[in-house]
Amino acid sequence: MSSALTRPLSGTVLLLVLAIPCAQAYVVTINTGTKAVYLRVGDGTRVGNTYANGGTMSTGGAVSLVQVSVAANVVGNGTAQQMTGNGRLTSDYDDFAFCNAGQIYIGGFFRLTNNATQNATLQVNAPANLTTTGGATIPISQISWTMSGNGDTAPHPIANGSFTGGTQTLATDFLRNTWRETCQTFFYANSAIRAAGTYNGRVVYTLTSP
Amino acid sequence: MKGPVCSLLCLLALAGVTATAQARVYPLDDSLTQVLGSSVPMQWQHFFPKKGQPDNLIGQIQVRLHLNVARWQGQQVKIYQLLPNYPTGPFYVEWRGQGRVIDGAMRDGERVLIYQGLIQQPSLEDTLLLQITADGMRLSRNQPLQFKFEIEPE
Repeated sequence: MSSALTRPLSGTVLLLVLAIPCAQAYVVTINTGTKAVYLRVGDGTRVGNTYANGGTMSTGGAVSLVQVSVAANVVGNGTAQQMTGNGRLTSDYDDFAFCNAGQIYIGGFFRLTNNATQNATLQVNAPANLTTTGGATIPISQISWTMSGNGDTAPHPIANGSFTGGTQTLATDFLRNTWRETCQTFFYANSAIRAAGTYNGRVVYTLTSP
Repeated sequence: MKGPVCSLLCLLALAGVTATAQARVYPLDDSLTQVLGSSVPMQWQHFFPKKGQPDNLIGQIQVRLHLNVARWQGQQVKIYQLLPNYPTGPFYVEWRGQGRVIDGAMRDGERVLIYQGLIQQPSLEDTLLLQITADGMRLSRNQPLQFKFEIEPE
């Protein structure tokens, strides 16, 4: 009985050994794709169709200007003055007129492979003051904003607020692979009498991915 | 005593059948196959996907396929390409060749016929353009895909 067992089993093992020649496996390594981050503030350009229909983003567009001229008879009376911005008002996602005249469009997106819950962060860097060429200043904190978007029922990524000077965080919830957009309306607080002149300052928005 | 003996004999018979069936499928040596490039540069299929659109990554790479089939020269055979399952999948692979192997597509975990016919040369060679699609939500690091081949004499 034991020899009968041994023979067929040996045969099986032998067959299996013979059936394994020098086999290989060619290997193709695929990478994770590119992490990508995109931000448009105000104007902006794109190539081709809307992003929803295969268009692609490009770098460009004018730096938007937000301004207000305060009439002499109301200077410093404490009544906030709405400012007017320029730049395109439509969303590049689908060409929808998301913002109204005078608002600044803000839209962003970031791409990350894998399903980790990670958000990009939107920050703005502002000078401490608006200044004239003669050196007169208005604290940047005199400039505030409200957020809105036509037909938008979702919470806006940026809360209403005002500049503090330096770098401040506007939003921490630019969730990966999710399009976020909003419209910013600026106001000058007009809380003090200032010397006549044109006061300028430049603010820079940055979207940072993890 | 009859019972156990019968069972043992049945087992042995089954082992013999299994061995015979396995003996007709042979892994192929593809060690001379060349992948033309270090890795597949994956791109987003849709940079801004619509709602409900998959977040797929897509990329292409060329492969000079070289299968050693000398042992089966003069025989009618079927050759299959295999791709094992990967936890970071699904991966979808399409390939087009120069006519020596059958163009086709497969997912990881599948075994697909790429050649059927007479083996006339000691090697089966073709240049394939592979297009690989991966789920961008699941691919978090570089992923090697190991393609294997099996031959079945007819």
